[in-house]
Amino acid sequence: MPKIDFNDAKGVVSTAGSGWLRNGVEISASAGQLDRYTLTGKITGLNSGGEHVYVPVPATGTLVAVYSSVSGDPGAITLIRVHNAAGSSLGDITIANASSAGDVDMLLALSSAVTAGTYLRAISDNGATNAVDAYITFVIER
Amino acid sequence: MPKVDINDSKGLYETPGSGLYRNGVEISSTASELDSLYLCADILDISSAANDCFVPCPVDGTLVAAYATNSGGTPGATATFTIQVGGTGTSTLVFASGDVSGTVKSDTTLDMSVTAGQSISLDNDGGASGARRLNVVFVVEHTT
Repeated sequence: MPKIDFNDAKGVVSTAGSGWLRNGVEISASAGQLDRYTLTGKITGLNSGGEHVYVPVPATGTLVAVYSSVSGDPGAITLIRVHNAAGSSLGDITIANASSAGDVDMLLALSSAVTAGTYLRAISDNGATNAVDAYITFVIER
Repeated sequence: MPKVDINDSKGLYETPGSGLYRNGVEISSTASELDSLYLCADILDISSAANDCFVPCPVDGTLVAAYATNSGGTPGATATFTIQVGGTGTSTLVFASGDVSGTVKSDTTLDMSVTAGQSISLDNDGGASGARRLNVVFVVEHTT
């Protein structure tokens, strides 16, 4: 059960324990977490027809999840549809009626290729009756 | 061409092949990708030159790329955005009058030093004739 430290002064140091360290500080992230990055955009006015956000993709990878955080009660069920650059729907995030500010909804287990220099898009179905917003975070694995 | 796995059970474990692994799972990212962070910002209405966007940079590093995409329709006229660090910079992202929503412009040749606490920004010339939106992602590589 060695602990491996990539150490500028000592080189690769193996000692008792476990984990991966860099200059004595543990890198806790897993391989998948190290490969992931996030992009965030905001949809303004979920009650307005076709409100959306486009976010440019800076690194090629696979879209694995999308999260939404709403700014208040939408007043009705609201769907956030996620599209890739080809215009294909990747699924909907459902924001429940009577959601509170900060409630997080998500679309998990996605596996959709994305290419640097293209975009991801999230669009409201205009279900909300209140003028609330949502931040959308896309999780991409390189 | 060893495959190197930093493995909690076995230590630094080399087998034939290639790649860097953590507990048997490949780390696909390059070194520069592992060093990168992505800062997102937007301009809700690009038709006014008063509407710029500023995002604080939380680390010391180098701004190496910027990507932007428009939405809400075509700009209606040429719209130019100057990439700046701490208010200085000359590289631009230029959208043409007829660029449809989802057009992505980028500059991947940037080499601009940035310090933690400085702002990275897009200076908007307000050239667009329509109240369109722009989302931008800045790519910063850490430096030690």
